[in-house]
Amino acid sequence: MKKIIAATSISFLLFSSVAFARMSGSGHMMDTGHSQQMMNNQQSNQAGSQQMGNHNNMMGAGQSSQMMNGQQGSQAGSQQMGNHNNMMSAEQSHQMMSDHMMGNQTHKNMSGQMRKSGMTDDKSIKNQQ
Amino acid sequence: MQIAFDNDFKQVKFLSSAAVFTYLFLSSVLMLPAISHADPKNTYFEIGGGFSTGDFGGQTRTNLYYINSVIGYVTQSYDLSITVPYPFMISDNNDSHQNGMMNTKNGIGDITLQAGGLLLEENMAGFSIYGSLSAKLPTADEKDGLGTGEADYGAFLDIGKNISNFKISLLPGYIYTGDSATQKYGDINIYGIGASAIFDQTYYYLSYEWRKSMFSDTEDPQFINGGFSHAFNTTYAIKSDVSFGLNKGAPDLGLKIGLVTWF
Repeated sequence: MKKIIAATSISFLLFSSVAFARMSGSGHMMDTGHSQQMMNNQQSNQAGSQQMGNHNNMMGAGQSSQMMNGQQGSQAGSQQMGNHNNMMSAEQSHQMMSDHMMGNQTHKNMSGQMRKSGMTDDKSIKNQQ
Repeated sequence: MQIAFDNDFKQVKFLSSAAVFTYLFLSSVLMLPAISHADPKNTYFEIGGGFSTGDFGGQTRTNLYYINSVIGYVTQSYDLSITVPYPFMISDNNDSHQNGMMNTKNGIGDITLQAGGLLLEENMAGFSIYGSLSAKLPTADEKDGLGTGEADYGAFLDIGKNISNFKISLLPGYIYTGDSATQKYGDINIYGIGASAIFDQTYYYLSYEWRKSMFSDTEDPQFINGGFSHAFNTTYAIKSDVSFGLNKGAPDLGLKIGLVTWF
């Protein structure tokens, strides 16, 4: 009877030890796995954050670049408009300068004709130049 | 340092131009009435306005509206005039990348001085030659594109032949353009031919003109222009002018109208 009790006790202890050992081991492994997973998750999060950061940077850089391009585009547009304004204003000025624009000659032609014909407020200019 | 010098130089240049203009304008206002008393109806004052539009072959269309005032003095042998423009420049960019960006500028334009004289009085064959000199003062704001910021000088001839009631004119000329610190402009050769006639109290004219472009990358402007001036009496007249650009170097269309009073 004592042998049976001793064997049972030893078996229980062994089982308990093994069970404890296994529980401890698996726990450690679980802890390790969990930690690893958490670390992985953290890394993943970090990677995600990094990715998001990168994406944000890309967006930011892209947007900034786009804005810069837009700004450059606007500047180029303004420059283009400025050049066009210059062309138009220069053209207009040269037309005013040019005595060739026969509209600029109307005064002296009319004046000359009025003088030639002796035009008064009651008389027409003659059909002569 | 260089920028400050450039700014000072521009300021001096602008003030010099303004001083010259003020002197000439005041001289005209003060002296011309006295002259006109001696020889009535030689002095005129014109107030008018106009419109010009063109895209010069690019994406940007520029519409120019302007008010002009001209004071002048005319005799049988010479004439003098000062033109003071006030432009309103509206540029509309049709490029899709610019989202129809519109730009409006206005201010005093480049003042023009002109003097002419009879070089050859009409001979038996009906030929005559009239010469003119003109100067464009850099009174407009270059940054706003209302002018080039430089003075230009021009010389023109009107070689005419009278045939019955008509006059045929050959119109050679040359404009020396001032270069800015950042841009070099080409000088301009001009060739034109025109016809004019007076019937009753109305003077009609039609001309064609070719001009070398002052911009290296632009076509040489060619256009036709025509118009009339009608004298209601010896004191008042009205004038109108229309021009059509024949290529991308010239504005597509120009219109102007003016009221003239003689005193």
